[in-house]
Amino acid sequence: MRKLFKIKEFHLLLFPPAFWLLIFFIVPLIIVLIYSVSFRELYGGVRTGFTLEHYKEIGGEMYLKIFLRSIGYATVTTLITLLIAFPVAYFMAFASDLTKMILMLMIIIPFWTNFLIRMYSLMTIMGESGLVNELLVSTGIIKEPLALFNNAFSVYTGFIYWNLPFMILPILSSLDRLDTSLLEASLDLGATKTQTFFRITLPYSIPGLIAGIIFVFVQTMGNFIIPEFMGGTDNYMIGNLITSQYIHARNWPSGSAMSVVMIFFVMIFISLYLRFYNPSKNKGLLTI
Amino acid sequence: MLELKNLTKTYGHQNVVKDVNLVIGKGEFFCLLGPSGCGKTTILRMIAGFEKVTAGNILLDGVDITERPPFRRDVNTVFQNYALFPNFDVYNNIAYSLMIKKRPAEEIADRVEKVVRLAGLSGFEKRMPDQLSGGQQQRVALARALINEPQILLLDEPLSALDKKIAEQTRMELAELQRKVGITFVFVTHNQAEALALADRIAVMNNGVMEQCDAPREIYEHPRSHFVADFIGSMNVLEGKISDSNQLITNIELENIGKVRLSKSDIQEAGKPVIFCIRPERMRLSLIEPKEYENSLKAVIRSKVYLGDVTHYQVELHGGKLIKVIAQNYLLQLSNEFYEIGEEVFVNWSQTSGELINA
Repeated sequence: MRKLFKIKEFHLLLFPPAFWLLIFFIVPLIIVLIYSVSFRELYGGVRTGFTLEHYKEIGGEMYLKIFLRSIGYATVTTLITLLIAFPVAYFMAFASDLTKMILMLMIIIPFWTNFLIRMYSLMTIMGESGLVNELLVSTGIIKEPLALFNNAFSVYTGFIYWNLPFMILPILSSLDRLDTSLLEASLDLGATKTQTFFRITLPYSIPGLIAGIIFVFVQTMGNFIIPEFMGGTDNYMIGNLITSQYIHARNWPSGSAMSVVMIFFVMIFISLYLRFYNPSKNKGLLTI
Repeated sequence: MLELKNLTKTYGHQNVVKDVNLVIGKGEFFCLLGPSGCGKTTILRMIAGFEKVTAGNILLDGVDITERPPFRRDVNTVFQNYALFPNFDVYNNIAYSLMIKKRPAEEIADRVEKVVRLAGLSGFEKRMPDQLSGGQQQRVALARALINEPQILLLDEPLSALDKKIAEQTRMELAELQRKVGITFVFVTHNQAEALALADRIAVMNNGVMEQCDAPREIYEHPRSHFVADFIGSMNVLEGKISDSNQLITNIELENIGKVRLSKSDIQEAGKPVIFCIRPERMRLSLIEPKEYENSLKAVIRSKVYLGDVTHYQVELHGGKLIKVIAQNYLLQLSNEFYEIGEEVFVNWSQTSGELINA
């Protein structure tokens, strides 16, 4: 068969994305790196130079607490999201085309809706005089409204709600490729449905599972809007801290140092993923 | 012994399998043959337990297994696409059912080695399925299904994904393997050559109905329905009715064509509409008037296709009906007879050739 492009011509296509990545990803990253070791000027300015004082600050008790809290929130969110998302993806993968399409729309439409609008609507549902509390109080089930808001519970709810599509869709795309005759073959060879699930279905879903975990963990780690909207002061995360360093404290070098540390953690996480699953190999399966 | 009793499968309003009754003996190589959508694969899937039975029963050695899940049936399947587990190597694919049963490691190794040798896969144990050719994958699927020594091995078009040459070679290996292991094979195919070559008995399916179940020779020589006559090999099908019939001879009046005579011992009722079938290779062309003990019809040659060993002629009978005649080129050369398009000839055949089917 004749090749569509000669390899050299084909490589030209790589220039626009490479250029894009360079300008909007690599360069800003370098700027952040430079800022993080620069000196802070009095009125929010930045003077280039070399100092590690901003990194030392991060070691402080308050920052460390928020750091650990962020990791904790991200981990718990990822786990709960996973537990909710997997059955949904599993059901969708084996549902009829119509059911699958309807469920897909139910996932995608909120996903396309503006993030802030979704947060406000969550507030109207969960707030002190929100839908849930009004209903419970008016039916007399409880006397005082529940504290559903401005605490860890509401932050988790926000995170899980926001993250579900990011977990469901990759798992679904893995399971969708699972040929049902493999499941039949497993049953045929004497495995029960449970054994078939653990030996065939689950290994097959692992690439999607890992992709979902990375997505959810990474973006939860850095998110500052949900703790801001739905949490109280006890629910500050590293994202909030960075934002406040940049915007309120006008301390760009300090915010940059925190960003660098966070990016470092995320990179560890992603390299672990690449170590165990190489997406460029089209096998798409972990050998267990 | 596998018994299907009034087996029926319905999807919505569609009857995919209608009231099939069948007994398959121990050690038999049994073929379900039919065009796509005839219900043969559905029957196979019901035996395996992948499809729920709408009505009827499946008995294995007298025990009703109709409601049992697939993993509780002493039946294994070779899938059309082989369905090898892509995350396991050849060894683990074959060992899968024994590992599920938690057999001791030495026993697994022993038995895997045995079937690996049987299937001619020695040296491939560490390969992944995507590193194997189609023929090798098929043999892994076979070995994986045979390691349990099931009572019945179901094969769903196992040769259809292979190249023609490899399929023919694998066909012979399959027949040999079946003789060696002595397990009952139920083989689904749409390929009549495969069915005729492999099977002890063939069930021809059409539209969910079992049309005929017989040995390959019977199916080919004595088709009992219009569909079977048409589906197996090539057949000239002529409509007519019985003129008269006695113990030795039946005379048939073919519509617009003429009279033919068949020496068959079964007496037919005069006036009954019938279909007269005759294979193209049973007829011969001649310029000379026929012998009196032969049937003969006048015809004109309309087309001629030379195929090396044989020549296919299409000839037009009186009344415009076209039929096919196959002549051995070797015999044509011996008698120095070559016919050209447009030539008027006689089509002759023995009175013992041909079949009557109820119209």
